[in-house]
Amino acid sequence: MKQLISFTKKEFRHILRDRRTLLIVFAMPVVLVILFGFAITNDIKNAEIAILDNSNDNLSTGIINKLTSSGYFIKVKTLQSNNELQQVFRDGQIKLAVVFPEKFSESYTHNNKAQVQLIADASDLNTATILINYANSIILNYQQDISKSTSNKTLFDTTIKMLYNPEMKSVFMFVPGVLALIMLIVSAMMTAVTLAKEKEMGTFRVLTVSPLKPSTIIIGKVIPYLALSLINACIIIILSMFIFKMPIHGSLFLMFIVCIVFLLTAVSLGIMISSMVDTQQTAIIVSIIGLFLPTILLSGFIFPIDNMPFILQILCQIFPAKWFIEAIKNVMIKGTGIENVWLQILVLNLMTMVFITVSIKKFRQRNA
Amino acid sequence: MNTIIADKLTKRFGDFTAVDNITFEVGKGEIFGFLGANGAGKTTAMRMLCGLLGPTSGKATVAGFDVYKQSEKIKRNIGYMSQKFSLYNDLTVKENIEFYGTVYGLTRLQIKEKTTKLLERLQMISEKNKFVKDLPLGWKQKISFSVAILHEPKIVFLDEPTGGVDPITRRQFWELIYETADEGTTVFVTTHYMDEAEYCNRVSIMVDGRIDALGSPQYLKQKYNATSMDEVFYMLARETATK
Amino acid sequence: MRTIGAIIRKEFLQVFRDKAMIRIIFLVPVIQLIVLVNAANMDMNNISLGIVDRDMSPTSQKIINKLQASGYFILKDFETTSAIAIKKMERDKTDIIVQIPKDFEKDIYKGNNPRISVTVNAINSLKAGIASSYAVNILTDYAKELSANFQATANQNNISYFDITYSNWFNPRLDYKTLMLPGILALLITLIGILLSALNIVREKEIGTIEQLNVTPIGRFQFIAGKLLPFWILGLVLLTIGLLVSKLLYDLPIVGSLLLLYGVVSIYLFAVLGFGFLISTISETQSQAMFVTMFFLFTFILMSGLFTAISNMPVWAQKIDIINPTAYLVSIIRLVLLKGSTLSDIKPQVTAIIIFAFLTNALAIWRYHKTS
Repeated sequence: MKQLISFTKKEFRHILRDRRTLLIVFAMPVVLVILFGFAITNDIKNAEIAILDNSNDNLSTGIINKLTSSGYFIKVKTLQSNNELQQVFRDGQIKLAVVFPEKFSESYTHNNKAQVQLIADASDLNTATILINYANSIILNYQQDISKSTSNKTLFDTTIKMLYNPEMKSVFMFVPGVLALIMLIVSAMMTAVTLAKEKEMGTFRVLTVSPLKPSTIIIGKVIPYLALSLINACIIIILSMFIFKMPIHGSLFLMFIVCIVFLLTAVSLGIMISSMVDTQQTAIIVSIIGLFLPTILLSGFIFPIDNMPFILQILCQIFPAKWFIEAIKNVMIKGTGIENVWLQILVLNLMTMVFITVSIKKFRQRNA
Repeated sequence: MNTIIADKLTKRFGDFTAVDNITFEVGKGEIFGFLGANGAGKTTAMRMLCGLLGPTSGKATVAGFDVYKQSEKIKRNIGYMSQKFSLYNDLTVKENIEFYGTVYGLTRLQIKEKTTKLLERLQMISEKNKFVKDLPLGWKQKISFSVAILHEPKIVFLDEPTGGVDPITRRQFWELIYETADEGTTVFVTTHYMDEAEYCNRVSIMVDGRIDALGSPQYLKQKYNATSMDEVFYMLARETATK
Repeated sequence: MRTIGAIIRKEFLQVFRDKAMIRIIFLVPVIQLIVLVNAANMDMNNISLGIVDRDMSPTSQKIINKLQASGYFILKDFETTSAIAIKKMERDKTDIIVQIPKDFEKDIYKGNNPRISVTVNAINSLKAGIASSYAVNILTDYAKELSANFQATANQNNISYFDITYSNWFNPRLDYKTLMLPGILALLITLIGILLSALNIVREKEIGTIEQLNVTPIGRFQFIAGKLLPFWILGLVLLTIGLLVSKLLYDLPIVGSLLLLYGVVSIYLFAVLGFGFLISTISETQSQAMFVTMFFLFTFILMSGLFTAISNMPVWAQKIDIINPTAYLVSIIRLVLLKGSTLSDIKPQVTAIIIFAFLTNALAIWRYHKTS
């Protein structure tokens, strides 16, 4: 135990002495969280639309007014004919076009049906989907409004309640994701690289012939990075509370536990990577290439897991970030207690154990 | 004609003066030893002469070129073997030789001839396709040296070339150095093995960035009334300590 | 020229000898390309539905059937009290809860205008928005249908409605894969390119071989060029493999000119490799280089416009994106492959990449000192 403490102290000194790296380690996550917290968003604001209104009657202008007064859309082009549509899309001037046929109001009152056509630029499919949905619900609302004012009462109404995120802010979705991504990659990569460096420089062999046990060496090397990561996690959470107004409905203590559990998983993943590579270069490339895109895409960070094909849904389960994001959302936003995060904590701990077991096996193989 | 001329050459890092006003000349074909304890400034002085580090003040020419303005010209005329290991571990012996040969502008034919000659001299023909990382340290150092003189430079700088090498290999290494000097190449070598100092034509002893003694080993031993270079060195070190 | 050749040869030997490296550079990206395109999907048709039916009437049953038959919802939970249903949502069992009040059917016939309430888990605001609008559409449709029946018997006028039709241009199959494939390919090329170059020079620094190179007559330009070209070739090979895989496995449409695409990617690779070398020359250790690289990779990739649209970003973030080469590449690769844009259409983006390539390489050459 004494050995471990003195060894850990030595490692801390190494880290604290390298001011340049230290600065990067702390400043980077902060800058990234602020940057992405604002920049990664699906909130639509002032999306450029073009209108092709072949009727110019009260209903078509009514819809146009509703769309443009919503704040979501801004009319940048009024078109005269269908031929112009192709060009404005190709120029990238607009994201959505709304087309009204001739005799729009007349058709509505006499044929009980009036056609509105929404055309989206689906080469950016995410935005296209979102814009069509926004426009769709605005037009439906308008329809409810006018049918209420006429005698045509509907038989029942529908009310919608947005639970947990009444303002529908997309930070609720993205901040936990950014948190997971940064915590995972920074911790795993830092750990993998320090251990790989010892291996590459041959200093690991020197340490293994010392009276220190290999486990002491690894734990001693890892503790400082765990501490750094934990400080980072705290900074990130404080930032998300104050800058992004993320609510913390659940217990702070539980959140802290979830973070530590996740960091342990990340660090043990780093140890596992280092046990399988020989050089720092490989450790770095494996950590980034292996973790970066899969964590963004398979953790539910941006794309919901439910939408994925079955095989991918299974694959997602083996990514630690997926479990952390679930747990952190449950505690932070939903405010649930341990009853809703025990499974995630258990799975993360199991992963940690698997990573450690594999690492021990690999290290033994190499040193035998 | 002197191939290296240093005149009041100085290098400061902030407050710390690593090399303090050193002045010396080295002649063609001479084996010039640069002695001193660790941190005495040997490597810094050598790096300045190789054009790796800009001096703070003073003058120096190497192979007739100024270290301030003509460092790239110097590089064409010198060979260098650093303290840190300088061959690529993940390339074979032959590939390393080919790489450095080409970099120094040798033709393919020249490289081929020289590779064979070099490996024969080192008796390492059978090792030619082995990875450098799989060779013992002493062999690696001998190859490093051979690579450093592959392009027949006027001067070769050796920074502690025999560090960590066994006595027999060290002996063989010095034989290589003699052969090279006999062919007219100036050898500038740093070392902290005092027995190696005896092999040099002339040595300079650096203490705290200054050159405290300069001359042939015989001359220095006479001057300090010592039986070995080791003793000379201790006396100089004690002198500095009592100052 | 021969010097550059010697460096290129050396770099190739070093990369290709390392079996682990080959796997990471070629195999892992290709597998990721094949697998990850399937993950990026915003088609919401597996929304978990919870029902609280406190009416238990033929009408409420009809509504539940309608929701299920739509294909968007999967019934995951059926409750009679809303408290339990909410608990289920808390556990992520359901995404949306539709509650039908007691005496719903009776109230309709009495003309009391009852209210169905829809509760959505809005943490993912996008999914919530889409889910709720699907549900409202279905419920409104059913209301229309009911009133049509009512009014047919009462012989009144039919209720009017807007018939909203959608068309998606430039990607009529509405296929996320088609969109994500070129984008993910662009990201993988970026990742590999920047990482390999950023770690390269600093690695020689750390091992010590850089010293030996610095005493040779290699020029600064020769040095960077010799280091850059091998990775440039690797990048183009990766692009070729990626395009082949996309075409064979996912039938990626290639509307525009491949020549133009290769031209642009060639310049882009110069840009990112130069950037990587710049990082490498200013770093002292590989771990420093790694952190700096990671910072820029995160920024370049997350703000590339592939995952969330650039136009949604705040103005200041959009301004930052002006210097993001990856954003330009993602946009170009989609424009050329999917819309068939020509050089004149993508001139501004190409110009930006050329400027970036020029600046990073000039800086890298300038920053690489043989003498300290």
